[in-house]
Amino acid sequence: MGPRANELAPASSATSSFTMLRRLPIWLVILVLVGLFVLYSMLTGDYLSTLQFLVIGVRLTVVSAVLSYALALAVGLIIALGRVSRNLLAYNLATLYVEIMRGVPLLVILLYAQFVVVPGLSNWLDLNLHTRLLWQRNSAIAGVIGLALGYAAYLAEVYRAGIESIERGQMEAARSLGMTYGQAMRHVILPQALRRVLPALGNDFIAIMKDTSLLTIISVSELTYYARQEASRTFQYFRTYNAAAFLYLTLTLLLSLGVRYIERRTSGGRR
Amino acid sequence: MKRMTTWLMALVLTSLLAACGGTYTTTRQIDSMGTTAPTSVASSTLGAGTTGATSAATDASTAAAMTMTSGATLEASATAMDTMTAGSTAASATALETMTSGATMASTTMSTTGTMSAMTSTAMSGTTGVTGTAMTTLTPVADLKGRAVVVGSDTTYPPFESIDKTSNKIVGFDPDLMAMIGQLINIKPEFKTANFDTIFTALAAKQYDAVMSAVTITDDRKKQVDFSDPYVTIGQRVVALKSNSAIKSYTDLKSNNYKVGVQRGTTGEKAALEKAGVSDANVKRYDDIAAAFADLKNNAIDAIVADGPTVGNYGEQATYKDVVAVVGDAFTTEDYGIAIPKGDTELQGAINKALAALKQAGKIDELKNTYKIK
Repeated sequence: MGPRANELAPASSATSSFTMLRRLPIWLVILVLVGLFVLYSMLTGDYLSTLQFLVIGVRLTVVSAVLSYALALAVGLIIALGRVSRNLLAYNLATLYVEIMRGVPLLVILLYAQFVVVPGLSNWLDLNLHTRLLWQRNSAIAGVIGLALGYAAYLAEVYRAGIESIERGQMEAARSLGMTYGQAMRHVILPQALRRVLPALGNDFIAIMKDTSLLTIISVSELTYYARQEASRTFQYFRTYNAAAFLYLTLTLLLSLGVRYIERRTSGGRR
Repeated sequence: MKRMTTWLMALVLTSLLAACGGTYTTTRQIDSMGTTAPTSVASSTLGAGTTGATSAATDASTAAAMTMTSGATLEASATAMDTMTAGSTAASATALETMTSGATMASTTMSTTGTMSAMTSTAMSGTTGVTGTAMTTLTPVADLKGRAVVVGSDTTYPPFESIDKTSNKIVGFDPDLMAMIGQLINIKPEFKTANFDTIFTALAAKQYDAVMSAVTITDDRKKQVDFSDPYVTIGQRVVALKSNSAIKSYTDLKSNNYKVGVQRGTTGEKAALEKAGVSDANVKRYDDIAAAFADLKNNAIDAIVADGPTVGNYGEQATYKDVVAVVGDAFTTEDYGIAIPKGDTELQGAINKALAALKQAGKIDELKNTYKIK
């Protein structure tokens, strides 16, 4: 706790202004200034039309990121519980899943989802034509499934790290109070574990937001898809990808601010 | 116990990888030994039609054998040769491809490029030798002093350019034509695989010396790069599922909310949007046309718009033959040209002269027949 230690020390006026400076998020100030400058130069020239075109893709980028992250959070938790479980079957299944999904590139998982899993599933389930079209026509669904299943493996490992970081005594104490394993997990271990891994989870949310750009390969019309379309018809690569990078940066910075806020909220009770 | 498991896993995985690699090399060796005899005969037969290639026959035999991988058996190569000697230019695509890759190395000694693009010239001269006309009689039209020319090409576009299934080399109409041009103007063309949607920017940035990738000459592209004279005229065509009888021509695409697959940055994309009137949201853009065909087969899209010869070629491939069908006639008229960076007038002029000479000698028409391009 660097800044806090400074606060406790008898502060001369020089140190207190120094402390002020230290607590100010200078990186954010620089970023905002640069951002405003960039925005100014962007909104004056041809950038406006490029941005207006790319913004259409932001919706699907956000939607697929949020959906796949939510799915990954749920699937990841189940797998993490398998990973820490004493049940041989659950442990091995979960470990197998993590090792496979972590070892295959996300891009390959997405290609699987689009060209193998989704067509295969709808054949196997023998869906009627209407559902089949709905689900097969929308490559975003395959994309979300692929992203979520890939990220579930990473998130499972994050969860596991959190669960294993909780002292063994906690579980023993909970069990000796008469809680079942499940109750102890739910009421004692997981709340503490989640709080500890919150920064890592947030980090993965930002990562999944960026990785939605991979969906362009299965022609989901998200931000990168529009950027490539714009670039291939105007040949203005510098301008187009600047605009795309700007939009991505805006999304991820907003996210990281949100993650910080949630972290501060949840860590309140602990201090 | 746990450590042992880890080591065991590592051992199993490594040996698996090693086994894969081992099988691959041994098959290749066995193949090359097995096919030596028949191919040497075949390539010398070929060589008889070509001036100067006979001496390369022994080299070619080993080289040709090398290009045949596990799939190619003695019979296969023999059939390929048979078809060739029968003088039929419309030999089956695979036979031709095997043929071409076999002949690649034969020409290596002649043009010393060692790249695949050089080969097809010999394959062609082989074909023409059999059918009776001699290709090598054409006199050079320019001398660029053996300049190395790197040609960018999106190699997922048969019959113009694709990666051969057995030899893993770039084959097709464009490399063949470029090899012939190379002989006439003394350049050493070398084809490199590229992404189509960035190909002109890469060319303008001098990453390549030329782009030959079934490129339609358009005014938009002319702003970026220069073009040679046209060498082939084609049109956009529609391919749809056989099960969908409602799509009969390009005019049907805009109805029923049909999803239409195109390759990003191509004239097919433009034609689908502007001529066929498909809404932007219903046009699905792919990196390469192969992915679009995969999606069409999986019923994820309803139709594809792309260059006529290419949709025809994909439509005839075993995977798609029973599922998809080309519908309606070509609905645009487009000229293919070789793209050259702005200002390279030397190369542009030489290529134009070579194209004119080849056109006059009927070589381009022969090549079109070989690759079934109408």
